[in-house]
Amino acid sequence: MHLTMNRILSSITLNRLHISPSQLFKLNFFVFLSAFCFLIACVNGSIAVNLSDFLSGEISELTKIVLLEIRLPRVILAALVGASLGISGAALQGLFRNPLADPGLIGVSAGAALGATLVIVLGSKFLSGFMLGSFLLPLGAISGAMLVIMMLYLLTRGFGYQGVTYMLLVGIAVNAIAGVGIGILTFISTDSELRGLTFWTMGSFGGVTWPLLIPAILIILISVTSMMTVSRNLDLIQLGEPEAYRLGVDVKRLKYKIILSCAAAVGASVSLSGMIGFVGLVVPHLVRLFGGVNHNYLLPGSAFIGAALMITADMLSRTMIQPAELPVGLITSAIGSPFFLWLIFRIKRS
Amino acid sequence: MGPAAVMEQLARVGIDIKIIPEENTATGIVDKVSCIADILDMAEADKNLVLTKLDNEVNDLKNIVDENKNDPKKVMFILGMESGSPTVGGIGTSADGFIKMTGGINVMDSFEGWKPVSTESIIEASPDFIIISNRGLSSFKTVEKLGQHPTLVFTPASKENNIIAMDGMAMLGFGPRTITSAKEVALRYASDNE
Amino acid sequence: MSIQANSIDINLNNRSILKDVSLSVEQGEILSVIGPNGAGKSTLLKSLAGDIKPSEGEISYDRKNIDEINIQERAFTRSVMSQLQAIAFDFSVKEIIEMGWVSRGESTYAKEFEDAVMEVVIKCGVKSLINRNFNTLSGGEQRRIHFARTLLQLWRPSNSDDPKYLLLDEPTANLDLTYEVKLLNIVKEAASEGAGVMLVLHDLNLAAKFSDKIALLNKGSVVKTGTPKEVLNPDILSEVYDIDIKVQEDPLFITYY
Repeated sequence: MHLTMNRILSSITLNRLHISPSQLFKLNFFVFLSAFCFLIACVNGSIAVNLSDFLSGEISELTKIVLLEIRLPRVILAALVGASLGISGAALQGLFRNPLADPGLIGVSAGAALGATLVIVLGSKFLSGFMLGSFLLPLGAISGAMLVIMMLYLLTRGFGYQGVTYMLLVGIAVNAIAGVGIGILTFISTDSELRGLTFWTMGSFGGVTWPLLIPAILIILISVTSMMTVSRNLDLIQLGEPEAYRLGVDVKRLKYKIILSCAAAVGASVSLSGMIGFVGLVVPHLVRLFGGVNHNYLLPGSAFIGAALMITADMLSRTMIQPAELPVGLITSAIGSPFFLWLIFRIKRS
Repeated sequence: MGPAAVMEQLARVGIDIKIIPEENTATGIVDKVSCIADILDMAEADKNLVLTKLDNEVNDLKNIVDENKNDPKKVMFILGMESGSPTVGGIGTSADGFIKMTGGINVMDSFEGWKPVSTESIIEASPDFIIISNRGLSSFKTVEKLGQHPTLVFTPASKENNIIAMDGMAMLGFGPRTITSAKEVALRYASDNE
Repeated sequence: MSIQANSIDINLNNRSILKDVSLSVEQGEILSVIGPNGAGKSTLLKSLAGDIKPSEGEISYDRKNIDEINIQERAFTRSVMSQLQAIAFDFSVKEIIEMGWVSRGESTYAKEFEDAVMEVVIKCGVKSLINRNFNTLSGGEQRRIHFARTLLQLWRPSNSDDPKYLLLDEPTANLDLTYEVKLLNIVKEAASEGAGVMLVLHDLNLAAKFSDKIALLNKGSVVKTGTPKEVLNPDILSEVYDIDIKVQEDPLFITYY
């Protein structure tokens, strides 16, 4: 298992070095953990499924439909979104050299949500009989996310570690603007595809179907893998851009790659599940606390732990107050905001 | 009753305020109307005219409900589809009262108030009928389209095309129109039985 | 073999920083670049490193124009140490040093990597620090770690004669006296093993002691290049630094107070 993991990782990250044996072991553990969470989430829900029945295939037709058409796509989406947000948080923190970067905090998710809602509303206005062609919606969200990241980058360029304030300020502004935009659009539009403000701002995995999921799976898997190939360069850029350049890193290309991949992963996630906050902030820090900061470990670790966390949060959201549902963003914020406060104090102390 | 601050403001301006008891049942409606008639100082004859008409409606409703008694329908009332999952009326809501008036059973009986519910719970509850206000339906245009929504598509209500959309205020306002609306719904239950 | 600047001009923000500067860093030699603040020493180092493109003239590595050498190749050929930024995350000292390892694709063997890192760690006398959190080190200690990293970047198998160059901008700033001398001795050793070294130095006496050649810069131009004895001439120095400078001949020692 160790050896296979090593081989897979090294082929993705293109080098065998720069990850310690203990980190490799921990990554194995993360994979196991997320697989475990996945299984538990599949057998838990409003409709009870007995694990042995499930494995032997002796379940009723109705249960089968629920499992395959309702629960499975939902759990898979939760895993993908969790992985996207986790790894994007880690990559953005690396790129901006800033421990407070998080797609939600810095406005990337808001940009994605605005992009998605615009696509839906404009689509129905200007293209009647407009089929929310499965790629168009995530594309709108991805464009929104990309615009925000680029704007952030231009405004904080060169500030590096000192750019925390500017980044968060831009995040506040973008969140506000996007909030107004989404609010107005959801208020005036009667498009059934649009869904309401609570969906976009607090997130939900309910109502996902296979046709919607397929493009998201593709986009997210590609961008997550893409980010993992530049792990080593993310390490080097911690020394500063000029230094990384001298060490042979094509800094410009690295920036574009990360910006594009993060925008794609976050955009695809937000277009299907609304804005879910704090995952991109909390997960990388947890992974760092557990095993170290180098990106060959951090990026895959954040992906798997993000997935495990989100699968669990979703499971809680649909079982805690059955049959009612808690918005999943509420759960992640409940865990994430105290953590955010703790993080601020920790940074202030050092 | 409105918010306390508003009530206080109205009182201070000198407007005469009478608070009418509210009960989400047929009797409750009759009492309400009677109470209003008294406040308005209606003539006894006129009052009796109104109340008699109302009583007839209530009896009609009772008859239909009694006929359906042997096959009570499982019903779910949706307020809107905004939050990704349908927002549904639980115990104690006006929707709960309305469903009972129609002689149906509210499948969402394990929580209070209006809450979003998961698709799985909906499938498990397996409602025969779904009621939604016209406003809640508006973005879907037709009940058929609504029935195709992933959260509802596996319900018996969707499969049998038993989704009813009506004026929300008429159903949940608990005035005389509520009785008429309840009758309409009960008749739909009956036609489903044939 | 050498890194050369051939008649380069560098203009930044419409100001002329360097004018018609020519300089050569030869393999096996230590060249110190000295001069008052604002003379353009750091800019010169950066242009030789490949960070800044000259507006006139060219930079060449082993007679090849630097523009024709991709950045990975450059990383194999030369390592640089200049201004150092704060590190946002808690990397270990060992991880920072290891960042100097420029991998040559699949020909990087894990075994050689570990040995090379240890070699550099011991040479720089930082073994006791390697498992520490880099951010908990003092400024001077951090500098020594970055220096170890630049050494690792130049590591070659013993049978290799690939050219290597070390470009150091004030490497001894903030270092204790022991480490100041120790670092420069390591630099001297690297030169004797074939590295070409350029040192930007503030301290004239260090330059006198440790250089094979010196280049004196003032206001963007080279005033004089040559051996320490030739360049460290009291008249030339006094004029450039605008202060009365006395030079003792043997051993070569400069005083200005």
